[in-house]
Amino acid sequence: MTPVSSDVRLEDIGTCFEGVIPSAICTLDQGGTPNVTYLSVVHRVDADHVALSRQFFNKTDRNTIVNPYAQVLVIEPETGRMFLLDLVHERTDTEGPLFERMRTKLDAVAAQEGMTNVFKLKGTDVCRVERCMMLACSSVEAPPRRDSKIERIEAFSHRLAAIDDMEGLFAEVLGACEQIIGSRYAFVMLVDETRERLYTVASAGFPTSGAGSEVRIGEGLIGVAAARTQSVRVTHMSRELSYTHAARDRSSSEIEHVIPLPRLQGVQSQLVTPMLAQRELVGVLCLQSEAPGAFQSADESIAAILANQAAMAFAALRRDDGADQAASPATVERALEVKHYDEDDSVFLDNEYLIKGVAGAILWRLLICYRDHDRTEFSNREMRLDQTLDLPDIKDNLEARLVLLRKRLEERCDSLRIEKTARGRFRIDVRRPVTLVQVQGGGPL
Amino acid sequence: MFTIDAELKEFVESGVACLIGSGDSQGRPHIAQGWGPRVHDNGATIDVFIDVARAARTLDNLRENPGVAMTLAHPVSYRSVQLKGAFRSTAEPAGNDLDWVRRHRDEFLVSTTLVGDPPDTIRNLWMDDVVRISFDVEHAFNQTPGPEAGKPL
Repeated sequence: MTPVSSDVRLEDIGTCFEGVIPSAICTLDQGGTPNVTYLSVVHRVDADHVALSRQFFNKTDRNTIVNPYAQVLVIEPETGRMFLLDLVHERTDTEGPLFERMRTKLDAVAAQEGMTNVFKLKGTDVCRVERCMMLACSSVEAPPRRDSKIERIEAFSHRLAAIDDMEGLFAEVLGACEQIIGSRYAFVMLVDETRERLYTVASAGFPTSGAGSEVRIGEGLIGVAAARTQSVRVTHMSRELSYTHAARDRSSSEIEHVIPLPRLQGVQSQLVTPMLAQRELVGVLCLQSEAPGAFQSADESIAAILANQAAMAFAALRRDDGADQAASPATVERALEVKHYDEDDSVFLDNEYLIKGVAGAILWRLLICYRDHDRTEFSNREMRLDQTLDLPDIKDNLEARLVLLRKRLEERCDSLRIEKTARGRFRIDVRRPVTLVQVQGGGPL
Repeated sequence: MFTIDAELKEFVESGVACLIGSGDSQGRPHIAQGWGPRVHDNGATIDVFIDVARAARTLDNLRENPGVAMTLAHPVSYRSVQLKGAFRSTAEPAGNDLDWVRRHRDEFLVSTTLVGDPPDTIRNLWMDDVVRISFDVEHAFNQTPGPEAGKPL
């Protein structure tokens, strides 16, 4: 036990600023009356500055005007060691990168609950730290330091450079999330052709893959991160949501998910990182964990490197045209009914929803070719040139859509498969007779 | 003077997180973690305990400047209340005080575990030896996050 308090450096207590355990702030008014309250974010700016989120601190704000001194209490989540920071208020920022970063995080958590403007960030108070002191406590042992992982990032970069197909790319990225960040639960979402939605193309670790699940850009935690092209890191989901609920009852619309997003039961930590290539959003990389504080700021930086490298590889692969051909037939008993709704290209197999949109249109096109011409072999190139698909911008995302379609078929149906046969070539494996039913109008979902 | 009713007393004495704010005559504020908040039968006086090894600055401040603030926040519901008043006295724990503090810490441990905090982390927030401070409540404020935060109760 430490009987006395001792001074420490801010850089030695980095996890105190991860927002896992709430921090507290105390200020004094002109007459010396204290005001003490919890606050959502204490961000370490540099060796002797922190920034505080200014949301509901009406009294704290007024006190700061008449008395610039404040004290903040932060807690180290791994150990429970407590630190007091003596602060002097220097300025309040209402714009700039730090402000935007805090605003995105608060908006994303609120959006996750279907709320907007609940946590309007009024500003970030930048304060000079005059002293940082560890309080006496029973157990003073510091948490173990994490390694820098730079060699593993380099190895990932080399592996990525050698990849020449989308499926391998997504598998590599998800593998790196586990090997480098230690996150067994991760998924990749890509921007669709309308640029209004993200769809899940690959996932790892979840009970159900969620392939094909969608999120509207701008909605929910993932959608807000995508819309602002900024990472969002939540370190204690249940506390963040309690905080949100306390501020206001749930309102507005829930996002409807025909296919549920990949999600851990009891998720506590989430990291959503935009995938950017040539300044363009191509998707997001999402990590989840059941442990509070699982993703720290170093993990956020690593995830950004993985996501952007993957985005650039993705952009290069989708520009890459393929060529043609190989072979295989089909067989089997009771016919599988494949129903296609022409308005939204949704496809149902024996009345069970499979997929819609571009991927639905592709599958329908393949099955028509199979039925009318007995064809099973196709090339990416002919898909891209196929006027009957009549889909804007399909060229760019064709291979990603094929990956998605392949995963959905693997999950939902034993009788149909799409298999890659060579670079830019694939075949449809029809293992049972199919009956194709075209329906005018939109699907029932 | 503010009178704490039965419902608020129940909240104050539940498994809440408890912060004590004080300030010196130079305008320097100070925070301490509080344990075992307890409302007297008069509904106006509160006892709360702070760890002896961390108590010096709070006690010095209260002797210099009797203004005291106490924020109570429930880890699960986030309901929060701030009580402000004037320091009355300090004393060594007596009678069943230590049992009272232990009961509060146990309830706080349960509340924080419910929201996913590691129990070992929470146990390291407190120490064995405590000292009691008492103050008279003069004002009470809603502190629950949201637009109503800061409004008088």
